[in-house]
Amino acid sequence: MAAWTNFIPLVLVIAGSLSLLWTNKWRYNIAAIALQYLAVFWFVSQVWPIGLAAIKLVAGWMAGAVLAASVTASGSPELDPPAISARIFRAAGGVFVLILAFSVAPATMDWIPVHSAAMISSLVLIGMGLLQLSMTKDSLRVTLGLLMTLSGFEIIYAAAVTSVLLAGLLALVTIGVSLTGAYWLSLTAAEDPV
Amino acid sequence: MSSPVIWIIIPAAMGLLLWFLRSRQPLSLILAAIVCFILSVLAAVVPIGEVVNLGGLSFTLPSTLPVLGRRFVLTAGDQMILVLLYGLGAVWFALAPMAWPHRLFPSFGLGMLAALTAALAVEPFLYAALLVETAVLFSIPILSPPGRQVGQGLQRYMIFQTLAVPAILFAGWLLGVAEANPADTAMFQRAGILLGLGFAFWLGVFPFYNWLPMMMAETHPFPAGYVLSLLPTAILLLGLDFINSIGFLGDSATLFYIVRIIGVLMVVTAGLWAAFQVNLARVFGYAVIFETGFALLAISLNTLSGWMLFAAAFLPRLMGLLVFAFALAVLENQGIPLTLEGIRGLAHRYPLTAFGLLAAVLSIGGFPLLAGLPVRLEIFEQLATISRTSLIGAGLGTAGFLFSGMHLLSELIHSDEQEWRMLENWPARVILISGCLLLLAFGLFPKTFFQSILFILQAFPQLF
Repeated sequence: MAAWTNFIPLVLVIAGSLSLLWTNKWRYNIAAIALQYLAVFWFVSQVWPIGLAAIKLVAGWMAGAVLAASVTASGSPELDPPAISARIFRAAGGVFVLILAFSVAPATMDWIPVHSAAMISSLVLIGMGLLQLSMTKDSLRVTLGLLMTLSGFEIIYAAAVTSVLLAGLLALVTIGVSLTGAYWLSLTAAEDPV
Repeated sequence: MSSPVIWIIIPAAMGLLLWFLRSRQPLSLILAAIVCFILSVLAAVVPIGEVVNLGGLSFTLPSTLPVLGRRFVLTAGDQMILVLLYGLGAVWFALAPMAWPHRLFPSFGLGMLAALTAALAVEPFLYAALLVETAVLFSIPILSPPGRQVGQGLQRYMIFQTLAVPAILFAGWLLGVAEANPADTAMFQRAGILLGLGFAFWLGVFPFYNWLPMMMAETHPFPAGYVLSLLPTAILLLGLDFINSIGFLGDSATLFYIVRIIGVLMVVTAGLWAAFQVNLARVFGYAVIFETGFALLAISLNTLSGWMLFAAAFLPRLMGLLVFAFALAVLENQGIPLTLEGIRGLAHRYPLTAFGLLAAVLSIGGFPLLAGLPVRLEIFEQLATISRTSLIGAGLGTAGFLFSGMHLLSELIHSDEQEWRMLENWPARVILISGCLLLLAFGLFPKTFFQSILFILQAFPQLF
């Protein structure tokens, strides 16, 4: 595969993670996480057999589907769109994470054997996930932040270790985290006096 | 049939079965307690890997279960750990009908036990991270049952426990790389840092522990007590397993120095915060931090006596937390606010609950004649020979925690009421009296109780 094609998933990751910070609309958020898992699959399929790498895609999309179904079933209202000042603050945080990811990637590539696009994508996902986790109390966004962080880690870890059991357990954790988020959303809905 | 099948697969299957019986709460709780009790007794009497003669029947219980190219191994050395874990499960499930008979507790509680046992058994050990995460995921429905608000403390618990997974997995991989090239010391350092970070997230080590008191204030004290008794116990044992299996960790003076500093910081901050805390559920959270701090101090000694103190501390720690959580559960179930103001004069209405609360807090603080003191005293003695600063720090934290006990005492007896009543029901009275007597017995006859628990160190032969 030509080296430049690896920058397509990198663009997907950056666009998806920035949109997750920018908007509170759950449909866009779930779409962004689905795109990110596509990018994760792209990178992992370069180091793992395609069948094994597909586990990442299936688990990630299942996680997104579980969350989407839960938001729909709970009838939770859309969060208010963030104020423009909040958006600017989040975007500034996102840009800071991007700068950090691009500048740190070459150094980390010395000890983790992955190519630059995968490393940058991974660091962007981990950074944006942590940023998301630090800025929200909403159960859906906490879950999405955790999924982002885990998926970023999975890209570089796949380059280091290939194991069926590990792939299975990581998929179990991904789906488990999304089920926890869905469970929390259902609790929130149950408490809703309206 | 192998030992992992008995102590991992069977409890996991029972957890699943109890899920289907969840509408019959008392039955499922009793079944869970019986299963745990049987597994605990089996761990105590059936020798793994040796020929067992049972009447005319002779068999050997293999220690290994291969799964997808990896192995789950529970050897004879692990048997005392199994006794401890499943014994703990049996006691908590048996008390649950009086404290928190929730339908989700038996199935998810057993699931947690099975996942944590699997984490201790899996080889290579890096897979333990994913199994601990599975146990954490099982704990969520227990901590936030339907109808209870999901708070920030619970979210942070989930976040920190999940962030430990990448750190531990990476550390495991880096250790493999470093062992292939022992000259590359930088790799060992990176692995050590990531391993430390992973355990810091797991155990709620300073400064990552703010979720502990927050979560306690948001959840029912009984299930939170179960999770916070079981999880740190299993993770501390896992940490010991890592030090036992990874040669360079055991030889690293820097590691034990850092562990000592962190332990002192945890003891000092938890003790001081507890001294000024008015919410008793939060005091329980600080008690867990305080106990973890002392466990780290025992580890930091890195001597045979240090490891023995680490093992001996499990019983008073678990007993103290059990009595504390049960007493808090009695109050919570009566709708009494878990604040110092809410429990003012409680000794006049709930004398045994008040006595249980006090005994638990003072035992955790290391008050004379109670269970916590013998181990604390020995740790102080050992610390005095290594670092006076650490000793002063640990002493300061202990004084803070004991101050919170004295503050509790003054609030419990402060009342204008002249009449004394005993509003606890009979089962609660029996449990609270037994708990307090055990805390006293542990303190009066420490050797009698501690000698058996020291056998958990058999699982870690490289430590000494």
